[in-house]
Amino acid sequence: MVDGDRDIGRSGIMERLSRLLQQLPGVGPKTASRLMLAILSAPAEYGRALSKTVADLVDKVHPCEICGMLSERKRCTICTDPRRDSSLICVVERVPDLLAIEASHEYRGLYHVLHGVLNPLEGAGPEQLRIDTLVERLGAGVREVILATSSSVEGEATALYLKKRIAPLGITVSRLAAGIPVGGELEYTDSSTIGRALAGRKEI
Amino acid sequence: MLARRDLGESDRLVVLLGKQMGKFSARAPGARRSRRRFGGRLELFSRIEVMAVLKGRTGLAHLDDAVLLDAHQGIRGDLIATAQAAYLTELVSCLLREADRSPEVFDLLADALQRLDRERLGVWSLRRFEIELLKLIGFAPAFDVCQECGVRSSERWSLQAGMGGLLCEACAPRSGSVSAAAVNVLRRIQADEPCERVDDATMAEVRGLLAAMVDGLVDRPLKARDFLYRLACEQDRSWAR
Ligand SMILES: [Zn+2]
Ligand SMILES: [Zn+2]
Repeated sequence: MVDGDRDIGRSGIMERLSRLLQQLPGVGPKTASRLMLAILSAPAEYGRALSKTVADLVDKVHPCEICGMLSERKRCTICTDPRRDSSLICVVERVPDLLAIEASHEYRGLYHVLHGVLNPLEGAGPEQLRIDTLVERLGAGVREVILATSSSVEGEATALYLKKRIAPLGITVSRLAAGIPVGGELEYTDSSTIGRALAGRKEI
Repeated sequence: MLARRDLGESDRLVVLLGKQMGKFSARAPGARRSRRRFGGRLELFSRIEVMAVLKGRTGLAHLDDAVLLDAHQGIRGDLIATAQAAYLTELVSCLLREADRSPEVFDLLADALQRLDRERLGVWSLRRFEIELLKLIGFAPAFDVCQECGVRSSERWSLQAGMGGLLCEACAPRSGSVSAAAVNVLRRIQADEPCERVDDATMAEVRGLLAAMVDGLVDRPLKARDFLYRLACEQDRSWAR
């Protein structure tokens, strides 16, 4: 807690914004006041544009109905890009993992975002993930599913489960090659490592 | 390692079970963000050796370093084994209070994880683990005689209010929800005398009874137990008994 907090406490609006900002990752009371003061000292247009854009973000950006990537349209730009290889689907835990793989420029197939991972200790089972929508996608034309869930216990459990669900459909299931550290999260892995892991993926 | 969750942007909170230390929580600074800091050494079910520094103000220890002794790769390669390991780990984590020192509980869990690394546990072993754990934390259930009158046999039994044991038909005439067959199996498990064949219904009754006993001691529902059961039902019925 910083001393300034007590002064912020006197203003209802400022305190409210500070609390809201602090719900964001990496934002503590100090950063929250800095951000708030920066908004206040910028031209009023900036603050209005910021709040309007945040509102638009919440109202207009939704998971793509096919892959789960965030998009302003019903179907995202990746799913609707005819140049992408639709016989390949790479399954990731979360949107940041997808972005990390995209940033490596090594992958030209499609994606499927699970929005989570099987987590026995949190009681998160298959029905909480977008697994049924994945299986529905695996009709004609899909040749290989690459499981890019993390190498944590939860990520591996998810991969095992998916393998069991997908293998009977006669589709190749592969897993990213070593290089992603055990327990590692794709989000924090550099592009060249991701590229190598994709190239060296192994069928499981 | 019993549990872990993210703590802020870059740290992790880990719950560990030490043979001498008992159960304790610690902050692992940088474990989320930096690959070099702890690598894959802070993983569920892993056996590790840690250097922890006690921080005075918050009372939360900080992990300094961790050495991986056994990652239990065999468990991680099998979904049911993973779910079983998660269940046993959660059971210990929930029933043991912070800083309860119990080398026996440590050995019980370590042995079970060791076995799980090679093979899935049968229902018999799971139930035996539950009874052993209850005993080690001081809640040894009594299945041998009626806790009121001491009689040994009865057509129906009921779980005692405090759930430490059973009451016979005569002492608790109204309730009587437990079958004699289930009580017989409980006695055999407790004595570690395997029975030849037990039907699924009786085994399910035994599972429910022990679950009720555990639930009487914990303050939140066990998530991994539910997970294991649902998964087992979906994948392979014989594991759901
Ligand atoms: Zn899409
Ligand atoms: Zn009695």
